[in-house]
Amino acid sequence: MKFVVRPQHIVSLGGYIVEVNFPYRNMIVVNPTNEPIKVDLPIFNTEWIEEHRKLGLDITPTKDEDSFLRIWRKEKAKLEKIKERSS
Amino acid sequence: MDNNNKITDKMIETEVPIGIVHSAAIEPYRVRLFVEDEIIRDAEVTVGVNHRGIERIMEGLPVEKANSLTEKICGICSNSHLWNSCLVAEKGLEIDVPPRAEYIRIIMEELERLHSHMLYLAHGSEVLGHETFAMRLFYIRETAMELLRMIGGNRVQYGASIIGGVRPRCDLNEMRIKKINEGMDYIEEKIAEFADRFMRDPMVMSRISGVAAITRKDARRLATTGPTLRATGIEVDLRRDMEQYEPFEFDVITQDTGDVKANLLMRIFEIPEAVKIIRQAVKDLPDGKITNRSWEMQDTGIIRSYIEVPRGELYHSYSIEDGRVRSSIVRTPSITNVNTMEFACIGTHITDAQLAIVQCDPCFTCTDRAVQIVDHPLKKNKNRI
Repeated sequence: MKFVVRPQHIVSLGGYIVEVNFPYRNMIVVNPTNEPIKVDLPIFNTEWIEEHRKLGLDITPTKDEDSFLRIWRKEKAKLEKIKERSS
Repeated sequence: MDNNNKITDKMIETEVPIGIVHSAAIEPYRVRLFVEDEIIRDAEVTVGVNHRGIERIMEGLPVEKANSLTEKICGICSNSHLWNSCLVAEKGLEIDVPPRAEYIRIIMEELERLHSHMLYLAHGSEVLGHETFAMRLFYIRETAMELLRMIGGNRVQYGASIIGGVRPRCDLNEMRIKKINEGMDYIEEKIAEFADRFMRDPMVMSRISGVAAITRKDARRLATTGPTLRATGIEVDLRRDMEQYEPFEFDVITQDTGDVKANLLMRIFEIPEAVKIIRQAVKDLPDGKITNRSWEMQDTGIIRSYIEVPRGELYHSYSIEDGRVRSSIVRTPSITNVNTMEFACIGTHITDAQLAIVQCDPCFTCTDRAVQIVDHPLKKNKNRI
């Protein structure tokens, strides 16, 4: 299944992880480019992260003990700066 | 060979796009079929046109509010989402649910399974081109819908479960129990008649037998779940492990072939099992209160809950901090089943593509809940989720 991450957008893909043998709880994905990027879902293994980073996505995995909201806000702030620079 | 009948090694590859909006598809999704000589060599399903970001909206909401929001994920299995979300809170806060409430929740869930399976069968019949079957099924389904309305007050999004039990309006009295029993008699009789007619139809059987088959190995590899997995012969049903289902006797239905026929028959044969559970629940309905209100809110770690819903395994998870939901995750069965659907298309004839898709009972409304932040047109520098 493909999922389109729109240009300069942030998504969290926690609900698309098949958590068997997968160490992370959630996956914050930022598309900083001006092009939509298709990602492959569901996420089965950690190789997915590297494969999709190569496509130009910023991927931040979060674990159970991490504060999802804090990491989300941090990533979103970074994206806002990118947006400001490009506008 | 050097003549006009020479078969070239190079075949012309064609792409056949279906959707985002298509008459055979109930929901918006895009399918790209890569076809060689009318046989599908590869398929790609793209979702993402219906984002609402429900998990992100749940972040920071009071638990009760967040739970009722999960009901909005899907119109077909709204009860399942709400029930599972309440189960997460009850597990984390160690709340005992009264037995009467547990039974009413099971009745709601099984009624939802009935209407979901009948919707699936009707949609399948429609794709097969048999509109009479589809209409007949929708007619039978009305009974389940009306029973859900009677108990919950709505035909969709019944709002039955709350933390600690069910809403007072969902309690069952003698009149309601009588109506449920009458409804079950009707559904059982009509589905048996439909099954007999369906399986004796040579045209329908020839159209669905051996089409878009999935092997057990592939089903395991693709993390297929629910009736689609059981149609390959793998006997996995989370209801067997759920303590809520312990008092009830029912069989886990399986089929062997994993094709469209097996998938359709799975749902047909699961309907009498759901009826069996509902009959037991109303017969042995315990007396007593339907809500436990003696619990206190406290902080919890990450809590996870898995339940079996009409389409397979539904996973809800969040932690509670100051009475508010944190780090919420919802994984619906369709997410992995869409992958199976993509795989099922490969190797089938182009005319069977829609059947291969429909056989996995995908729910794109459930699947499309990822977070997307878009700029609000009225508020500068503010974001709407």
